[in-house]
Amino acid sequence: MENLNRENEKNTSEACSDDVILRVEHLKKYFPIEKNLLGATTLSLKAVDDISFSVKRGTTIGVVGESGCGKTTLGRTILKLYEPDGGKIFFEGQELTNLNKKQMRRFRTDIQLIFQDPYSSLPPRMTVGSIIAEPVYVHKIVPKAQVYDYVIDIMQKCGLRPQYFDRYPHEFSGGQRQRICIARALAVKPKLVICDEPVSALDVSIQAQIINLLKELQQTIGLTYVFISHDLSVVKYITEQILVMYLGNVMELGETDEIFDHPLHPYTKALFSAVPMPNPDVKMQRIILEGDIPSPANPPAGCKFHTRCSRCMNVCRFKAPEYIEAFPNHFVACHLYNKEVMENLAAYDAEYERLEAERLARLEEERLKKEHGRRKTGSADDAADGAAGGEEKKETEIR
Amino acid sequence: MRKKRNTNYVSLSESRRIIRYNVKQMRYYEKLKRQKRDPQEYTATMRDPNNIVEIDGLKTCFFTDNGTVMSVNGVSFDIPKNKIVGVVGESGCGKSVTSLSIMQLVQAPQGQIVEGAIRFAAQDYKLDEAGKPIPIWEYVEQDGEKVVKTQPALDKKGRPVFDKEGNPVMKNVQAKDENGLPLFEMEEKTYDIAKMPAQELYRIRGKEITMIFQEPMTSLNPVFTVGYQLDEVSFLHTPGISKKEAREYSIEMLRKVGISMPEHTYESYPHELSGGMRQRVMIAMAIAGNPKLIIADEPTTALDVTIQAQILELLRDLQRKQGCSIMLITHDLGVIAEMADEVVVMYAGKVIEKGTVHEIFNNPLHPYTIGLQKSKPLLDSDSREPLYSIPGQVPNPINLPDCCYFRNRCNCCTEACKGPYPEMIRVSDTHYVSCYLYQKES
Repeated sequence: MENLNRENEKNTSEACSDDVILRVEHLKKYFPIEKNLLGATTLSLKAVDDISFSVKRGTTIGVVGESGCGKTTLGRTILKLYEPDGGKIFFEGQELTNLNKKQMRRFRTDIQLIFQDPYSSLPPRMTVGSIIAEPVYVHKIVPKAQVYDYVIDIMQKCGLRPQYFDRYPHEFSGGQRQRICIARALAVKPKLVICDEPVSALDVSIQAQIINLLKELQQTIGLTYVFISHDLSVVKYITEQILVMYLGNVMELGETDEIFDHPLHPYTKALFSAVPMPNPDVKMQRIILEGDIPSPANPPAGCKFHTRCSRCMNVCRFKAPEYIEAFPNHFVACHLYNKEVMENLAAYDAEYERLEAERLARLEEERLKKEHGRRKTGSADDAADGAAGGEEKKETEIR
Repeated sequence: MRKKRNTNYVSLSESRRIIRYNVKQMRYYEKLKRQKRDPQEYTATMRDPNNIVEIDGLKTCFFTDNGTVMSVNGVSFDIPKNKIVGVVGESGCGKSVTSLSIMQLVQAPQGQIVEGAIRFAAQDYKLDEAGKPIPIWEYVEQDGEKVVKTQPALDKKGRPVFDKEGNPVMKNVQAKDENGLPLFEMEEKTYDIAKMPAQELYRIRGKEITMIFQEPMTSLNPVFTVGYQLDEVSFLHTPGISKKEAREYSIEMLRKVGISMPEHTYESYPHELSGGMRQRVMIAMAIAGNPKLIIADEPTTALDVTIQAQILELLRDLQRKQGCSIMLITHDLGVIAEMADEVVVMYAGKVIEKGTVHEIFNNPLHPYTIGLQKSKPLLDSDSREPLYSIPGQVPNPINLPDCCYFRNRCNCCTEACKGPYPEMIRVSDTHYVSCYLYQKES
């Protein structure tokens, strides 16, 4: 125990650069798909695979990507709603990964989550007041006598009228419900809020209200957001940093303006060009990605994006790209920006050809083996069927 | 202190009254639909021959237990031939109900088209006296004369049929189009869909007008293969098509929507396909009937941006090749700007502004349209100013007052706005707006 504490302290001193509130290092989360007889996992889905980033206090990081790329899993793993399979999470310098459930409780008030669908994330049988007051009671945020005033105060901050205290969630529209969800998250005075697609279920005119509310709260309380969304225009508006994900891997990470002005990764470029612009005069040069996102259970070898990439090289097909800092504070995982790879392309091409030849040889061998097996059984049948075949066989034996 | 009456709930006696009224109304309209009618009653003439659909003062309402909801409240707009018309609005503004009214697919008996006309320029099979479609025969040159091509008739097992004297029975060969479908004589007819009995509508629905729904998983049947569901279109709408022909045609349709292995997809079930592929299958199903009008009800809302780009590209391509019109319903202004030629903006069951795409985006007039455009953050701007947001919410659709429905949320409300609902005001030949601000000028 002492040992563990010391280790913790060591980690704390390492991670404690004052303004970094959340630091994630090589985070991994695999879901088992297939198990063998003994219960050991034989095949797993790599939902989050080796992700590292850090967030400064009072800023927002946006996580973008297509559906099934692991955005939501990342958010939930940070909260330890899923037990991570590797890597470390530091919150205010404190490592969360080795805490058990009871120790984790202390941090539950500091990190909160806003869910995507405000229609299914509110209990239908509780009034708005009791929904917001429940975490306040449980975590003893304020003395019991003051809870009512405290809840009313929070409601007003989130743009809910005090009369709504005794109403039920079904009486509200989507935008109002999302405000209730935000009020519930804010009631425990969190420092970090993970917003899992908070506006994608809402109408455009309501979206603006919620985004403005989130921004206003950030300025007044100094909240930090991890903003998960697939709507790039919203992400651009609200975030300072962007993390682009594809099939569980980070493709690009950097400052928002930098990424939007100079996207490096081919996937980021395609993603940005696919967003329709509300201006009929602008005819955009589209980079249309071919095909669908591959199954995360069986991702392609090498760079996971190479099956849809327009600038795919031979090296991408077998070697996973390294995560490099192409420009200051702008990280990208692509061979195009790796000097070492780009200078030795010929060598990698040769390597690819060798591997490809090997693979083909292996396939051929397997095919032959199968055929051989079939022929063996086939000849046995023949021998049983026709006497002539049997005689021939005898002859060969005699010889 | 007297307790204030809660307007959120309906009292018991009131609720009984509403239910009695609803039952009466629903019976009346259902009876009307089942009645046999003279074809004269539901044929009409188009105002403009360049239009494929003209919607005139359409009113569709739902008889709910809380009162009558006017989902579509006097909507009028046209869909010209070979154009894409975009319909934008928030959820609950009646854009989906408008499209369902065109297809007569409104949830009955609660939902009923009460008033108005939907004129549709259809191309229907010409019928002979027996009520059967007249086929077009294939002709060949024989001795300098045009003669109908014949071939020996085959029975079910593929053997030639002989008559009593032992001569082979000859059968006329029907002409085929480039897709291998048999041809029939066609004629132009204009129907009023709102008055058409349900029985007659089967000929149009799924053939002349088709629909692409939002959620491709829920609109494909999970227990049948994709091929089975695609063949159904051909079996229903092409008389006398064989199984083999239908299969070939379906595979051709799958190839048209850019599915790389159509034979494989033909055999597979919907759950084996990804979201984008499912939507492609839905589109294949929609174009299989060679429609004049495709209604796309939020076709890309459930899809990712990269897949959305693929599907929009495909839709535009098909529209150009097939020469049909598309009614595109969406809440995404970006999609509208990219795809549509004309735009209709709806709010609380009414059309508040309509015009060409350039007019709506470069010179929006109605405060709601302006607000809608300002409230979306732009990808190409670096501003960090607070977003403009339209205050308040969409009004309750039950018992709407007779005044501008946007009055409570409008930031340029004037004294005149207290009056009755503003008329459609013509700003230019194509641009119409329904707002008191522009009344003086006209």
